[in-house]
Amino acid sequence: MTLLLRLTAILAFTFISFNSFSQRKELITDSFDSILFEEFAKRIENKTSYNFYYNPAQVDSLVVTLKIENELMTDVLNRVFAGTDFRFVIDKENNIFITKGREILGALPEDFFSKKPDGVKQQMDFDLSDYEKKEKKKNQVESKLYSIGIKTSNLQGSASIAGYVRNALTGEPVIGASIFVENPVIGVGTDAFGYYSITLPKGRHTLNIKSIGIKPAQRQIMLYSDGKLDIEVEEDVTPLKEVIVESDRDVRVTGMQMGLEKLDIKTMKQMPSALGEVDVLKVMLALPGVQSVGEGANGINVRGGATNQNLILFNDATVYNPSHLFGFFSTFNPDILKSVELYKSGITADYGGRLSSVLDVKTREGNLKKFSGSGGISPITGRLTLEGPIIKDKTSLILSGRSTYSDWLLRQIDSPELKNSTASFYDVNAILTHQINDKNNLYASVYLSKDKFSLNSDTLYSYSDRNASLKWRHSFNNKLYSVFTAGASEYKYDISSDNNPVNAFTLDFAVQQLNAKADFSFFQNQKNTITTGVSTTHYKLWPGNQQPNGSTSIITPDVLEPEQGLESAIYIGDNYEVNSKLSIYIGTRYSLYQYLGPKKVYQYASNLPLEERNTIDSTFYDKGETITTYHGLEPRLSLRYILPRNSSVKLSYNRMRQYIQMLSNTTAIAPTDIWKLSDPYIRPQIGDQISIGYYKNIGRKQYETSAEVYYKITQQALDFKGGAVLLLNHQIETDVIEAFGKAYGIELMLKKATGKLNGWITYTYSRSLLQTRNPYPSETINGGKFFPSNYDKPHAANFIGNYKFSRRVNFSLNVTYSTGRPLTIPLGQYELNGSKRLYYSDRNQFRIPDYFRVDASLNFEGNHKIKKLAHSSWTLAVYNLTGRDNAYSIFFESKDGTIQGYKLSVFAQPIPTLTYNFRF
Amino acid sequence: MNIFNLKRIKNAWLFLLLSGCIEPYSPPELENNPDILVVDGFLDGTKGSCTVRLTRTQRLGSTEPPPIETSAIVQLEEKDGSTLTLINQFNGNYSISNLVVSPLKVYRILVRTQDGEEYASDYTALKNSPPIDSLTWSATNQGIQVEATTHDPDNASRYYLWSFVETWQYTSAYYSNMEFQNGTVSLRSEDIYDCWQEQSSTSIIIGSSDKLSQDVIYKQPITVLPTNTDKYQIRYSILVQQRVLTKEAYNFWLELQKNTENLGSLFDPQPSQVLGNIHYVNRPLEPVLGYFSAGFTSEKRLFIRYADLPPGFPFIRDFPGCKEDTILLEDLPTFGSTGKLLTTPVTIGGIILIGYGYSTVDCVDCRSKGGTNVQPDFW
Repeated sequence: MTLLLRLTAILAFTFISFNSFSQRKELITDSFDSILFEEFAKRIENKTSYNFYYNPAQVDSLVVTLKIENELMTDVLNRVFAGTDFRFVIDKENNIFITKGREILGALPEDFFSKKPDGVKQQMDFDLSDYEKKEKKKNQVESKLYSIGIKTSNLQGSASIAGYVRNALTGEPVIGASIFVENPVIGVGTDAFGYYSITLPKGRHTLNIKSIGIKPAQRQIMLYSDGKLDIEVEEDVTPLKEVIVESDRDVRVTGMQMGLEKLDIKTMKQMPSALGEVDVLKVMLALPGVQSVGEGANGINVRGGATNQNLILFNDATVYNPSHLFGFFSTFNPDILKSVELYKSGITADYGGRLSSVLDVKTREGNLKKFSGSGGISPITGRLTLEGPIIKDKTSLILSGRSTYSDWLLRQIDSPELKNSTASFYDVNAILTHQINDKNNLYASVYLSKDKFSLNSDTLYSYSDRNASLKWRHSFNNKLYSVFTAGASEYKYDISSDNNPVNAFTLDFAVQQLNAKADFSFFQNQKNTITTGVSTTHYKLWPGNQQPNGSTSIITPDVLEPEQGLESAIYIGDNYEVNSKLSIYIGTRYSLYQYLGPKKVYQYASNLPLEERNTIDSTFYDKGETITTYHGLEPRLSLRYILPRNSSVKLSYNRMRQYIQMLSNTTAIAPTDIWKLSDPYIRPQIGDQISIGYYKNIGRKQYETSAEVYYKITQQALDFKGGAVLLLNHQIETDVIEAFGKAYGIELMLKKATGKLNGWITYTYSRSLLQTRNPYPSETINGGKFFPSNYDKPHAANFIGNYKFSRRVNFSLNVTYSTGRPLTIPLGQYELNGSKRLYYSDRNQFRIPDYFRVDASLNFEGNHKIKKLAHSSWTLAVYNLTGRDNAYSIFFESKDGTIQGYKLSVFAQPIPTLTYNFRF
Repeated sequence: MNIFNLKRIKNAWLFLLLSGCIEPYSPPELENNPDILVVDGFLDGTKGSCTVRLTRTQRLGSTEPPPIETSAIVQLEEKDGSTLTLINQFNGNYSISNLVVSPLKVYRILVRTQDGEEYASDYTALKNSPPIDSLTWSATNQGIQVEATTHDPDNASRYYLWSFVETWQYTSAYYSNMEFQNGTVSLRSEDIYDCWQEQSSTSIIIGSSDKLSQDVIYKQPITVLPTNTDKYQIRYSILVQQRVLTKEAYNFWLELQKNTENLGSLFDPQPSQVLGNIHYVNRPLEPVLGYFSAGFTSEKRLFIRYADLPPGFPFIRDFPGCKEDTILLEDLPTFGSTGKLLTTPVTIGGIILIGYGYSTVDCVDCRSKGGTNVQPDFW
């Protein structure tokens, strides 16, 4: 029995008078050994005439161990609930109602039907008319029979039905909802547009629609031939959100995808955040296989990959720098986010261009029905989002902005160090959705951001990220649709200094990409879904441009030649359901990369190391001329086999090629890191990953467990010579060396997605190692032996727990542990030029102390009246609750002739923040 | 030129978070401390001398002087020319002077240690150094910054290394003209109130005009005198020496500087072993530390007096714990055992001597702070 019915029953019961059936006295004999309450109730229901009514979420952790012999129901239940705050009441029809904390009356008050002496009529506690109206409407829609296609008496064969699932309130598409019929068992999911296509035998069916965050819905259909059905579903209103739809619990086991982490914004909002704002990248760090080099470091390392090996997509536009303010904020404004997906393995053929992972960030579509807004205020940022229809039910727009007042904060701090400092950022989003007609939709997204900082110096750093994408989705018919996407991304930074009039300078870097792609999805039949497409990306980089700043400066203008490249790809993939147990995805991508002129390319003596002094000549290539071409196949394979007892095993293999990389010889992404295209000397990186996983749901599917093992090799990974100069280097190939990388690990996860108490525990053991295989000592690190990469952290464990005290108050706890990251430390000291100097170990042979952190947060929701001016919530979060001074870095300084080691910690004390959020 | 001073970002970042902290850290103890030869050699074309210092690496954090290599044979070799053996000073230093060196030749050093191991440096040319055009100073937030400006009209120098010796005058807390010796009081023959102290640079100061259209170094910071120093309470002097480096030598010092003076945050490059131009002859893969460089030097001196400083500059004349007391004449016989020093006579009305002022040695004898009371020639 669904919860909804149970609740309806409880409510109905309260207002129904009882017939005077006498309660039958049944005696029960049974024994129960550590079984869940729901099992217990079912058994009793089967054996006796009793029926149980309760909220499953409340009893999900109640376990029954009992031996009963000829006992009355009342006695049995008294024993079951002994020591808990559960109450029960049994009515005359042998219905048992279980409540938590408060008892309900099994009978009406005695004076209920008789007027009180003073003549005042008893008032009902709350008005159910609104609820009833809605239920009635819903029942109307659900009981209506929709005829699909052209009416015919021939009901032989199958037909397909397709359409959108949308939120009834806002008109937004519902992504990842499952649409299924129970007889025969056929199901599909909605895609990123909320679109579904399902092929069924002609005839009458009941379509079930289920997803996280919406109320389960049904549609009665009569399927004559191919046709359309758009489905509007209701949002699950927050107070009733304790029930998370069960259909999604199976996804981890039965879903095709492995190594996929999918989080919706609601989950992310529950997690404690450092500076009072939901941060996508920080949330990712709580997942197995995702690491960062330290607090406040930009970027994430996925399964032993470098930070630049993640393809970060924001509404399908590539993001080059995902962080604001040294990595303390991510560039994704939480108010407009819909979902975030991180692919760690089993990457499908439609994605390409980066080795490690795909982080696909999708924003909401604007409200199609009415104007609304949301925002928040935290100690560092303020944000505001406005959205609404331009043409009702057709066109919507979201405008969103976020900015800091950290400049103002800095001025309040009475410190000479900060007197001349500024640090600020802003970002702006605009998202337009337009439904041209049933078959055509347009989506446009624009993003702008800018960061600016100058830290007690005359040097001003600023960087900006700008991107835009335009998507046109066209349905040819129920089974075939296409998406055409055009996008542009730009990341640039500039540094300027004007303190010393002779040396004043400006320095710019920029990378720009223009891309276009066409994707086709073909739902051939229930077993086969084929995706195919082509894409092309044009890159242009301005690797460095230094100019004098002011008339007195004698800085020589130094301009590195721009670089151009073209990356094109074609792919095809087929998701084939062999039988109800085995499902296979086979795909391949072929990518072709051309490094294009105009450009001067240096030649080096062939039998000598690649060094500036071994330059022998240079060649100039004209505009558009191909300098080098790289190409290759990128096979992708995934396989899922369902095992008995709610478990499955999955396998995946993928090869990726990366033609653009970030050059960085600092431990974390620095504001001056540059991107570089593959060229005749810097070859593209190639990564292969094989992974295998076992998934099992236990305890009535409320516990999801998984174990994934992966092994990954990277060819032509980038590393750098000691002391490499990466900025304004005209022959950068002489400072870069190739390395061979291998990474492997096991990721274990236990997750409880439902109940008052939910959350997950993960443990990861992983290694990430590099090795140089070059013939010359100057191009060799650690004598050619394998050495740990900068982000090699073998042991990592995370705990995330949420507990809902009530519908309005919830508490979250986040515990993180990891091995300290590798470090190169001095082995000894020596004296040179009158001062002590350090003699360093081989690279990354030591580690900083282990990392451990506890965060907690408390969310208070405002009252849940559906109709009110604005909904608000408060979040009180404490970051690093235990105040542990985790080492951020270890460094050694030679000062006044002596050497001292220092440990630098950031966030070395509990950081409380209070955030106010609102929506209207 | 220090364009990308990321260390500043680090520092201010800490304040930004208001919660960062830096604590001393001791790395894990090693079982075997590395024992590697360190060669620090310089052929000074201006003075016609060559000095080589041979030491060895030592345990990290050791405050002892480094172990020295005393019984080695060190030779200076002119390519296609003569080889001279340096004179062992038996303190780790090996030197030779009265050399005539030519800027047209290249030189290297050869070292054979007591245990028979042989080392050789790369051949190095002597670079001429243009004169220092000016030495100036300016007041900054951090203190007084001394800056050097130079240029090479031939655009041939490009890479510079500076070192300095600073000298400053200071006084003790109390002037003393009386002396207690062998039970009697006499006039002090020696001034122990005014002293001069000397200190050499220890950090690596390098600069390059590589990125400039002309070979000009404009106001290169040499050192910063913090506002709380007592170095300029009377008069301060700095002698700056300038050398021109080859590009390889410049890169070596730059690397060494990055690796020991500028490391720490995630934004700094990872440290690496910095190996110079000295090689193990028989085992080329074994590391040898240090550098042999050669060149002509130019130098310039600058004086700064407190009176020259901008108004409001703190005048540090702080003698913590100093107190002057008086000893009466009748108590004098016991004064010798106190170990203290007399300052000046104490009289009534300037006529009747009743005793002497006295204080501790630290407060009376300026030499106790390490300086000398002999005025330098250049003062």
